[in-house]
Amino acid sequence: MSFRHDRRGFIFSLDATLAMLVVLIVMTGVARMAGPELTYGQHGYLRLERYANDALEVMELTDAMNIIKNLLAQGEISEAGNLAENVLRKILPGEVQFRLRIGVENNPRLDNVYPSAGEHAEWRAAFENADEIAVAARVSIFPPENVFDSITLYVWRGAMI
Amino acid sequence: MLSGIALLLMLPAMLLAASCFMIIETGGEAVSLQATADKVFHTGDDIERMIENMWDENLLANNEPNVNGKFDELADNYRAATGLLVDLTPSWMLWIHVRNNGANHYTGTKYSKVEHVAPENWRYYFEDLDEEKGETPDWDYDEPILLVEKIDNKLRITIEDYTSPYHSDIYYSDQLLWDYVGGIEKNHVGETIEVDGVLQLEVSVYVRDPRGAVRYSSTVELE
Repeated sequence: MSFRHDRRGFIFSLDATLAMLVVLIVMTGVARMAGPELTYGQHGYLRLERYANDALEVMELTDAMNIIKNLLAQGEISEAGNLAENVLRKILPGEVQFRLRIGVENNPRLDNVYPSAGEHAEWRAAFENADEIAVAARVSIFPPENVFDSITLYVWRGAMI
Repeated sequence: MLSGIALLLMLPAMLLAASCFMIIETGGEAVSLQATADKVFHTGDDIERMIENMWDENLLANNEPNVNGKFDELADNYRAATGLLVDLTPSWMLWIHVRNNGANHYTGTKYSKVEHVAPENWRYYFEDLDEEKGETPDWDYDEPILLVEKIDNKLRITIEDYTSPYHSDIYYSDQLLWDYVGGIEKNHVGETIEVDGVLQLEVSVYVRDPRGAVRYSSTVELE
């Protein structure tokens, strides 16, 4: 049977069927690429970063950061850490974990403030193994010498320890 | 082999696929840009808050010379903490032009100190001798001493003293308040002028990401 005499129409031809198959395969591939993983990859990180920035902003606006700075100035490091932990735990959603550091990495005024007291080794491991970490940083004046120092908040998604 | 018509069918499919790839790529870039924009905005906003704090806490009016250096220090700290490029440019309203050596001595430099003496009162101290002109300043900061009082929407400025044979012109921004102040005759000492407005310091804030894709610019007015 020759195609010239085939009167069934183009849509039923083998060529058209194959072409439609290729079209469907390509479209399915593209649809899969734009799936939820990619959407999360694009927007999940953005949301995480906003959590971090908003948390530091709330700490400033509620004066919690000032209280923490004053506690640090008085040498009450443990109280400052506890307050920071409680405030951040209230601000951030349960699935978002955090680490707060005040001061520079090699000589911090306060470090290793995690969502729960103790278990620093576990939290440190969770922090280091997190898939993605968003960071928010601020600079503040620290009494009594009135010098500038940084406040860095790292947040990531993970389970509570 | 596929027929020509079937191949033609594949072309729109390829076009659609290419468009989808472009959309995904553009979306990714937009999100990345948004994340950078958020960071730049938060940093700019925080710098403004910090500058206002510095003014309120008298870190800029603590009777020390060269307070403009604190803005460089602040910008360095933000650069280190955020990785963004930060420029802070202070511009004080009061300054003097020394007639005898031709120098302009601005507030915030090593030739000036500001002291917050009462809730609405400040004292500005200037040095008229200039190291860059080959002179040896005595750093007594009394050429002149100005008392600045904030009264409603005006600043009342009084020349309290000028202890030097030199003469200077005193400016508020580009407005000449007095000329030939001082000298052995203590010209204009004791006089008072009121200027419209209560602005004492303007700080221009400029934050950008290293790629130059996002910029934040604002001016903080301190009074």
